[in-house]
Amino acid sequence: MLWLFALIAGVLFGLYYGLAALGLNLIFGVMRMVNLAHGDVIMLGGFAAVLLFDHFGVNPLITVLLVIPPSLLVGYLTYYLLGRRVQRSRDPEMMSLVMFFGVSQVIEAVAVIAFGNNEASITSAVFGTRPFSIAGQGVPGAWLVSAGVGLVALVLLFLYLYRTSLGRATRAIMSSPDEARAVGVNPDRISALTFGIGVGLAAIAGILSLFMIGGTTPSEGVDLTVTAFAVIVLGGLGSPMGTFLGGIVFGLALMFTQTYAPVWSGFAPFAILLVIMLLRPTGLLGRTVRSV
Amino acid sequence: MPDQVDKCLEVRGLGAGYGSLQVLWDFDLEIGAEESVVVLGPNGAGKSTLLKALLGLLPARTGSISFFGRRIEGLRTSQRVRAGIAYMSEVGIFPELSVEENLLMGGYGLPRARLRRRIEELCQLFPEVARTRRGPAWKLSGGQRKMVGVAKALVADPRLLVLDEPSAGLSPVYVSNVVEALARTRREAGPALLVVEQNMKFLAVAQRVYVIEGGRLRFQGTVPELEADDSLRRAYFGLQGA
Amino acid sequence: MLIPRTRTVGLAALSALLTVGLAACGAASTTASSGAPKDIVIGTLYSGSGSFANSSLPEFQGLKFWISQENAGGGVYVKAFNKKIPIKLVALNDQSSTTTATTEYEQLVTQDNINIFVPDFGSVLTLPAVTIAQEHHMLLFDQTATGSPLFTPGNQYIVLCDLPLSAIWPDPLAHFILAQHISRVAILYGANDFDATQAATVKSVLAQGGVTPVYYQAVPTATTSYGTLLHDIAATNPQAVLELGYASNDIPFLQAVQQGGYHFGMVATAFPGQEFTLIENAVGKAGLSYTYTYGVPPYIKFNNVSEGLGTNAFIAKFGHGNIANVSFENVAGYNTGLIIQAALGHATKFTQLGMRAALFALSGHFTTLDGAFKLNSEGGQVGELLPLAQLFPTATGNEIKIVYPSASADHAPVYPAP
Ligand SMILES: Nc1ncnc2c1ncn2[C@@H]1O[C@H](COP(=O)(O)OP(=O)(O)O)[C@@H](O)[C@H]1O
Ligand SMILES: [Mg+2]
Repeated sequence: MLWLFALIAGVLFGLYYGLAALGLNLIFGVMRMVNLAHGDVIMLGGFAAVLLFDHFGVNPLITVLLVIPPSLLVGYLTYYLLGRRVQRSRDPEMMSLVMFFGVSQVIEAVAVIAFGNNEASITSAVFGTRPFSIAGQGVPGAWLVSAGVGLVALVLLFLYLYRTSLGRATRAIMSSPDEARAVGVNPDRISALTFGIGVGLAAIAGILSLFMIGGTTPSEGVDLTVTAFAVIVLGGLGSPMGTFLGGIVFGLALMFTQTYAPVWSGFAPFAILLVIMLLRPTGLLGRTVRSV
Repeated sequence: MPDQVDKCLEVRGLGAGYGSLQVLWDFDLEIGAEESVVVLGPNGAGKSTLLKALLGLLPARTGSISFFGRRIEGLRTSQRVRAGIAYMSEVGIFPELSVEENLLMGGYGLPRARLRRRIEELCQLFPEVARTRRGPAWKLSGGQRKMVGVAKALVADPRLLVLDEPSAGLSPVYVSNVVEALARTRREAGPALLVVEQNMKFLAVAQRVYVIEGGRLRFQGTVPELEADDSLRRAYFGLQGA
Repeated sequence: MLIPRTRTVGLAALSALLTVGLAACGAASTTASSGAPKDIVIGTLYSGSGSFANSSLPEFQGLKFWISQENAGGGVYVKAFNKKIPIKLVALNDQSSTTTATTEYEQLVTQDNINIFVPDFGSVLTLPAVTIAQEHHMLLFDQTATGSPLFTPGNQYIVLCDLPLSAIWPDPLAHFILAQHISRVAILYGANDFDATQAATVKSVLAQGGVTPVYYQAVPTATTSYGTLLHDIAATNPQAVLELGYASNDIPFLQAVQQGGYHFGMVATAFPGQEFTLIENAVGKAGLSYTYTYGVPPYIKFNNVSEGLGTNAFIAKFGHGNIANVSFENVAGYNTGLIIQAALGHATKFTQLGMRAALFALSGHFTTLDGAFKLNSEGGQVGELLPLAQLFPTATGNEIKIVYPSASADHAPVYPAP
């Protein structure tokens, strides 16, 4: 039953990839900025978990909660210090690439100084070494924990976006920033909050990446940003639900190729991305192409 | 100064534009409390720009804007909205939100109970909106969109309702519907009304008319005065034969 | 040993452009009137940052240690002039970027008047130096780039100093499998020259013993999730599972073995021997216990040497007596110096091909703390073999012990793993 395991693994990894990409899409949707430092934030989340575990024995699941307040704060301040300036420039999309590329480089360089150039991780044993049985397949506990955290984050985000006034205002800005301002929404406040949430989601994904992709290292940020970007394009820019769908498609593509043609497994998810882009340029759940 | 307070809006010497392009020049406009005014002008005349400057979506480069005697040209959009100006843009709605959520956004920042009450009231006033209330806004027809847009703008119970080309993209039947709906709000002792338009139909709700051309004020007066002006009549009524 | 990771490609070049940092440690020297140069100029690159830094910097340290040792004694002995000449080092920082490295290699050979050309760590950063060395007729003292494609019959200007060609790395590993009568072998390897040549070697040695792998698959070098692959491997019911990758593959692989609760009689990965502390910190003690890896210096010891310090002396001097302070890369960098020293000390003519001839004459008769130095006709290293090591749990962590071949073993293998 190789296919059944690939299916289960694909969905579980998909939830992880969805979580890892969610913040990038949220920030893009609200601010039209591509946060090229997204992967570096994921990396920092991973190191936070490693350091807290190594020095204080903090369980990574506790770290998931611990990183939320500082992430919100850092994201909030980053928006007011950098993001707002970028948005007010002539060409915010391009400026955001340049600015956050720089931020990404700085984070990586500082991380090298702080943590060294090495791969770091937490032993998988913290989530047990006895796999759980799902549909007769032995699935590592760490995967279930990661996917579970991803699902909880997704549900909370959706409750926020669809059930609260701030969340509705966030979606209103994603729909049309001018229209949102015209009904009295303060876009700076919503943007700063969204930036904080995006940073927090990335940091949480970073903690889980220790168990899903084995570890973290200061130089991995760029690759993670690329993967996250592929996932959000796949699912549709500006569509949080699409991001999870994109993550699952990405995860399934990876796990099925690992099972049936391992040597192509690095390439297949991106091949699927290309095919979907050709068939449906807006991504799986993307709306009509915007002309902003 | 009762005279001042009677005036809903007083715009003096307003200028605005985009980057190095100035679009609106030295524009004057007055609206009395509960008065309704139409600004007519051809495509590209600067009508939308005028409204954006009024709302603060574009900064005013010159001039002043007074709203019930209070200078507002330095305020943020959200503050102007809270002061009582509601605006329907050319798009008018959030297509990605449901109709209900559009109405909720129209009253963004209002206390929850009051917001609910206002939405119920407006659904009474606009049965067409009530019918589509649960659905997504992107599914609405052009006419329904404008209705929802007007209703959304009215949720906050504004003192001035500003509409950007409510007739754009509508069939003549729908234009009449929108005009009728606007007339309905007028009967309820509604807000002062500022409509920018290319379409003569809206003169039906107008007490006074302004004409804007090339970003400058070309004419101001009553509808009969406009009809009496030969060149303007040819420009604005001549084409409207049918 | 070469690419620790090849994941970061696209932006690395741009990053290098944005922050080109040059660290020239001394200017070029000029030749003295007697014909003997005032000093011997060694030109090299190192990665001060980026994905190769964690291997490149310790290797660079080892080389600098050798230079300081020689200069403290008045310089390196140069036979062609029958005297000691001080060493000058020109070292540039390539920041792990091949683009930057290419430019800087050109600069070394065209502008810095170097006498000895030493590339940066690993295949990725060594590759651009190979053609440049050949074009400019400079002998390349290749430190740790071991992929067979680097060595071609037409090219006289390369010698591999510190590791055997990767094709022969797994020779003892494969023979161990046959010796244990293991018949069900799964091999998962990275789709790159370094790992593919190893996999091919294992496969062909096993074939000689009549064993065909039950699983034999390549995965992209960037692979970091191994759970599904392991599940599929386990489905083939193997006794031995070999994962041939880089350290950045070994860590997630060993994590996945633990996560999935898999228990195989034998698990072998390539890098725990070379990056022991790093990998043990990442995967935990239990994740490494009883696994196998390539044994490398300083865990294999050579105290009876014909040039330089022996293993124990090196640990004493460089590592202040503690083996934990000495990495394989430190040994490799120092050993590069010893090979240079041998070339200068035996060449009768102070020319690039003169040094090459001297090294070929020494080949097979020469031992350092890195093992027996032996070249094939293309300059590839075929001595310095890597025995098979196994990791045994102790109270504090794991210990690396050589278990095969028996002649050099300091511990009996434990198979199957408990
Ligand atoms: N965002 C913008 N950037 C630059 N120029 C604009 C922008 N919006 C409108 N304009 C220009 O300003 C002028 C007036 O536009 P607008 O106010 O939209 O006219 P109207 O609403 O009367 O059709 C036009 O020439 C138009 O090209
Ligand atoms: Mg307009």
